[in-house]
Amino acid sequence: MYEAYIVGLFPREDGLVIEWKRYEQDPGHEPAFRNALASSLDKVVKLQLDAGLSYVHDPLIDWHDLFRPFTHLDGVELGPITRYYETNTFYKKPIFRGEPTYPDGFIERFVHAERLPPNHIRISTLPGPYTFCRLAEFGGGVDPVDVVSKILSGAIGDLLGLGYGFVNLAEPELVYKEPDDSLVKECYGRLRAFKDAIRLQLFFGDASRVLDLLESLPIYGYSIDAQFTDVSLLDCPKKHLTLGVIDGQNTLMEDLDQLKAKIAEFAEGCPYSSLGLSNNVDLDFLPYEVAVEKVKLLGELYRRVAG
Amino acid sequence: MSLPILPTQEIGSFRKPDYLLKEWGRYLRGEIGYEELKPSIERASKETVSLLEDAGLDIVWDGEMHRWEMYHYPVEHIDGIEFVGRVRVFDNRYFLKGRVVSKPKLKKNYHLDEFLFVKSVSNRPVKIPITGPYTLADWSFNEYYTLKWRRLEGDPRKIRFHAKREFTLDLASEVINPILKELSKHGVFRIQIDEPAATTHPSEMPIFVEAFNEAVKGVEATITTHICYSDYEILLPYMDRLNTVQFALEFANRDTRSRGVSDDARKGYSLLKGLSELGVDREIGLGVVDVHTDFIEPVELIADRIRYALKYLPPERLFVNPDCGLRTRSREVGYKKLKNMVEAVKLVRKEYGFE
Repeated sequence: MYEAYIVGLFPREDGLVIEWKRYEQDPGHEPAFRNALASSLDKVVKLQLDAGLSYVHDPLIDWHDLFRPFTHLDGVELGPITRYYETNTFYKKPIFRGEPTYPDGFIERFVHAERLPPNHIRISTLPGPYTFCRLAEFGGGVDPVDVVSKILSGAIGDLLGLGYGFVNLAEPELVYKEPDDSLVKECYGRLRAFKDAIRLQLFFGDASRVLDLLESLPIYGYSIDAQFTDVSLLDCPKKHLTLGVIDGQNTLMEDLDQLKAKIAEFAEGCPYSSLGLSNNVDLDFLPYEVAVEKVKLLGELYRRVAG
Repeated sequence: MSLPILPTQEIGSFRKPDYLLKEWGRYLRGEIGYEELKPSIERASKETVSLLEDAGLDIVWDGEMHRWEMYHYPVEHIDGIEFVGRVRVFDNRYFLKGRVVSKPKLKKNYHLDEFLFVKSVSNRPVKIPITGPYTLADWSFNEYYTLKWRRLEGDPRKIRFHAKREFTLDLASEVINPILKELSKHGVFRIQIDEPAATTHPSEMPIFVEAFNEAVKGVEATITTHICYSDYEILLPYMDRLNTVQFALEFANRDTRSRGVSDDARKGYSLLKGLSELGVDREIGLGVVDVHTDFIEPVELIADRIRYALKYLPPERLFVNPDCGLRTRSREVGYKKLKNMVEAVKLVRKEYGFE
């Protein structure tokens, strides 16, 4: 049995970018901006439904970067513009000056539960704790694992309370470099309460090198980046696996016949009760129109492999 | 052309005057053609050259008035790369990104006319900044070469590497090299190859070096390079392999605003020690003002940064410049920063007896 879904931040359509810029220059433009945002959110939700995907991902088109919501917590500041791995996209580094507390319901301000259809399983993405610890900056006396796990526990708990089926945790750091196994285990040990609702998204690196570590973590499953991990050489994991086969870093459209054959070959040697199909990295790295086509392509791939 | 010790230079871009921004907007929306845009470009180009000369720079350019920005401008003039849509750089800032759909081919030498114009309106040596092949490739979606290499390779990592290498080398030999050779014939003083993407992918550093050297092969003009907001530790081992006389680098953005020449005060310049220890023998274009803040660096602070650099580099290999192009600052702020930079150089020249 297959499932298909998108993960990560979705790009903004040009119209929304323009309305946002007008709003930045003129606060009186806020109503027009809010309307444009709502309309864009609805389009991305409809796109997923029309593509026949298994779950609806919160579009997160109003997040400037993966960490931005958490910079609104007391005690966290916006730091310098920093390159996001090997991309030409930059994030603003969160700087923890103290140990912020996570107010109940905090993440609700940044997701769009009210715009997601009630009869579909909804999902969302948050930064993974290990990546968060590595990419943020922490002032003296702040224990990164402690503070990040408290914040993420609050956010994941809130999302589940809002009816989100599971949370995709973006963890590029875990595969981009040789990970610190004990730190990774400590991070996920703190999130154990949510183990059935956590899936990791591993991108910008080869996941086959860390399969043992992944299998030891209290998580439901993980996705691999097929641009970095040779799927044909991947061992059979015990946890739920999602193949990130739709490339969010190249406008080139995937050859569905080739992909279908590759997936079938993998599934044959590795029988699953459920195998996920997804994008490898956030579609935010693509222009909006191309990202739309990639979602449609994912839907088509899903139909073909699911028969 | 002889230069004083500690020559001062700009890096490239400077804020366009409002009237030109307005005209560029009309041009990009297709409301006017290039011929209608041109008079405003030339007016702004002339004004900017005068402004930089008035600030006292020894080597000038026109702030890239002829270009919308450093990626858009070349891509407009290269067959085989087409614009595909806007992609986020950060926050709500986007750039129009291209995709390569066939082997790149130069439509026309897009730098010749602007160079001849700037040369005609300037009284100082002119340095022309040019976006390098690696950055052009890295900032484009690689469709054509990926498709080609998918037929030859199975491993996605090898496909990516080979596709990038071939794309970058084609840009170097088919696009950049002919431009540089033609500029050389027209007596350009210096050509600065801008490669802000150079260290983005550490595993692709050999591609960057190979393409850079291919781009400048057989070019008689003096070649310099500018690399900013990058991990210079990645660049260090490759510096000696690049056929360039100068590395103009960004330092001030990493530095403190404290006075003095201690390592703590000048922590943004720690790379200089490494350069000295490794025996890198190229000129260094020392970034002494931060282009991402309106803070006008005082003359004494800039002088301290230069004094610190002189602890590690001989004066004849030291050039002084802003971290990067000043397009993100207002013209007024940009001018004040450059003016203070020039004053600081004068101060240091006098202090060290370089005059």
